[in-house]
Amino acid sequence: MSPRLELVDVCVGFGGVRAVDGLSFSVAASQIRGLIGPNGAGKTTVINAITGVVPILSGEIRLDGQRISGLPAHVISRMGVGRTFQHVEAFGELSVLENVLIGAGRAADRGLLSYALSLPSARASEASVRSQAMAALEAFDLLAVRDERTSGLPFGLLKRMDLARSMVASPKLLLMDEPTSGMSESEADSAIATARELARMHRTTLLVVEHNMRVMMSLAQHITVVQFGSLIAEGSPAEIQANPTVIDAYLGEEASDAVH
Amino acid sequence: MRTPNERTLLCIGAAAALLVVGALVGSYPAYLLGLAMVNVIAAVGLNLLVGNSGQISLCHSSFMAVGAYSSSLLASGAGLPFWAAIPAGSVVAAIVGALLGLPARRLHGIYLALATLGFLQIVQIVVEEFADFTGGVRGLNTAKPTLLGSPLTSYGVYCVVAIVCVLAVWLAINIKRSRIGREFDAVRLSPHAAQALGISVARVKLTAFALSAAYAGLAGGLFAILVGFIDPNEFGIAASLRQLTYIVVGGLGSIGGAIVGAALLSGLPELLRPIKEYTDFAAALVLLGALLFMPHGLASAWQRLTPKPKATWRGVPA
Amino acid sequence: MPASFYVQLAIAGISVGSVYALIALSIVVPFKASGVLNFGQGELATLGAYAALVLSQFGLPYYLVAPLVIASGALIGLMIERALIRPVIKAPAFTVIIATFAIGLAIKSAIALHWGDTPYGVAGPFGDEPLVFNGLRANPTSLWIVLCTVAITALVGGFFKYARPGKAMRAVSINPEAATLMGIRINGSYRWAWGMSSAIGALAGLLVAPVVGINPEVGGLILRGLVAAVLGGFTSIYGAVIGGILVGLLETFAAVGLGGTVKNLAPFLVLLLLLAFRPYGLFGSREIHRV
Repeated sequence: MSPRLELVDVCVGFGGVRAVDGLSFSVAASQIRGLIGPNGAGKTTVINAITGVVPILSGEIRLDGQRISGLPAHVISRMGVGRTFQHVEAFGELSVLENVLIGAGRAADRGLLSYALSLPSARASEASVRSQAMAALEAFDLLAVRDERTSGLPFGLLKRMDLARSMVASPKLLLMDEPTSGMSESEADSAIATARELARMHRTTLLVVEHNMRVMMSLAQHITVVQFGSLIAEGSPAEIQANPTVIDAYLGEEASDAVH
Repeated sequence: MRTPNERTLLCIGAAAALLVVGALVGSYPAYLLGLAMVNVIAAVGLNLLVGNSGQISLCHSSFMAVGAYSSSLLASGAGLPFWAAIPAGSVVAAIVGALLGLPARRLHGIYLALATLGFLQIVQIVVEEFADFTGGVRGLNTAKPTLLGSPLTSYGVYCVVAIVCVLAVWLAINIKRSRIGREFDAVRLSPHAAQALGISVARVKLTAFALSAAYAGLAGGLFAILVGFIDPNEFGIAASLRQLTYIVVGGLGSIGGAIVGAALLSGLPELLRPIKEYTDFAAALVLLGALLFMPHGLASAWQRLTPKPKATWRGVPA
Repeated sequence: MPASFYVQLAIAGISVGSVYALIALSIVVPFKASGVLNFGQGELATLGAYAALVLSQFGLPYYLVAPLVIASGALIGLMIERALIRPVIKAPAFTVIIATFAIGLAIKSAIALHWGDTPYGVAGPFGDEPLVFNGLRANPTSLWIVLCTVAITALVGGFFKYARPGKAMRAVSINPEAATLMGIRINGSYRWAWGMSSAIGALAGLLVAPVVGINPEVGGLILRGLVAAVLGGFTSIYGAVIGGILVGLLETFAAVGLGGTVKNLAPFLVLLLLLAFRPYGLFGSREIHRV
């Protein structure tokens, strides 16, 4: 049984700088994996590489044993890879509901003509997409704001919307980039609990990048630690917290923060 | 937000109203209304591309030309009746639009503007050079449309234009409110997020180009039978800018705005006919004025005046 | 065909190309400085041509007409920048592009309103007697155009490399925030850019007037200028000039080899091919393109 996600010796670089350098790890299906590391460790780049936004120089990325590195981003998404964004990337002019409808649209695949002529098949598809979206909005407590334009809404709420939008199509693998930043403690706990529950229901594998250590340690079953684009440690939350290499990497960051 | 059935009824009502009005007013006002409706079709199509999917296009009038010439040639050359030739012209325009859309997928901003500008020039040159088919700079007379053997009266042509216009608007509303319309907006607002949600940005752009070209081609074919004559000067950069003015003044992305913008501003060239030279100057000033003082168009002013009710939720309020 | 035929053709091509080069230059300079592509630039050449007409109708000699045309071009450019470009510069690309187009159309139609379609002529500064050298004939106006283009290119290149405002403009185009922090005023930078580019555009209209005449369609030059700018990579001054020369040569040789239709189509086919496969042209830098 292939792991849900597998990175094999992946290198990503821009103009001579290696953001990710020979990174290898794998995540089993339905697992919740944390990805942590000091600033600049290349975590968002890893997500961008998996989702196909950024090309990899060498190595391979596999989903359920099938190679996805090199495929166009939207194809990878349709294969069941979802992601949330550090800065949400909401469709600003659209409402919260419309944002989530777009997330659910992957399921709807009627042709242009059906929609243009408002055929029954198109109407049925739209109704189904709408009910999926409403369910996701309800799960993340967003029904009250569903018709509000997203531009102008508080950041924490938008992060919840991003979660709803990326989970509504029940992806096989969901990459979460700082999902709780901007949220209050209770908001974060609630959102993470919902995400974890939905993931359990749909057997979604989660790969979470998170700076909030409290959230990370309680959410993740297993943690991968990177620094300067390479793997430095892997293990359970307890093991990682006690790992001297990891402490060094973070202390080094704190020390350099203190100096500057 | 109306249900699809309500929308359909409303459109049928609008069509009926237009047919009645056309019968009541004189033939010249009906002709002007016909021109306005042709512009509405073109504007609605352009809006889908520029307003909704955010692609800049300076060659919309070229697709009108393609529709006008190909439907005319099919009618006079291949003997197709108008009700087959005009849709065929629209299809030809859509194909040409897709051909332009293919390389255009990877372009944006000024590069896309330049590509559409280059395409506009090419179409103009082709029209001039292949004068055997197109009549060149002197223009082309279009065959009079006939139905069941006898030629259509001017009121008959008006009815055709009115019905097709309402149909085209109905189709556009359906498209805009569906997954397709949402994907257009997604690609415009955040291509990154769109990709991450499984939307092929390239395919959406291509669809938008082909669809808007189909609308323009349809408008061109109708224009040809309405006027009875195809003048290549009507399809140059000034015409493209005029169409952009309709949707900018109306409000980018809004179908209602496109309709109002096109209907209101269509009258301008005819009003200024005694002083024809002022048309381009006036159009340029209107466009500049709209961009500087009303960048979000009439539609957004309308939205501000008629606020939508807050969402109601059966349950415990937040 | 004797070799001299091709040399003649090349001279003609380079001369035509020089005008395109000037237009391309006048497009690239404000684009480098402010990121705005002025689609109305062609109309500044039209303005230059008509300014030359008016001034010569007053009986002024060429050596006075030329600097006055350049100065009025700069002035009008500055006015346009202040009144119409400054407000929209923060707007999305679409708005700015359409605005510059509309400005161009307004200028063109205003000119057409006043002077009508009547083509006017104006004499070249050195007469029309072709110069003969070693069996090669060259129109003195053509040579004058090439000379001016070389001079302007050198001036512009030197300005950006050595003059303080020029170096400031380069800084702004590379990193506006850093430039502001260093005390460079961005608005001043834009003003220089627009003033220069309109001056160059007006000069192009003046130079080409003896060759193509004075009529509202002079602005059509911008199309070739745009092809030249794309060919040159849009951000390179020298690229724009080389692009212009290449387009001129392409046109001239295509006209002879393949006939009128191809000659007209060639630049735009080249444009579309470039945009499809190599939008950064010969000398531009590849943009990192994500989506």
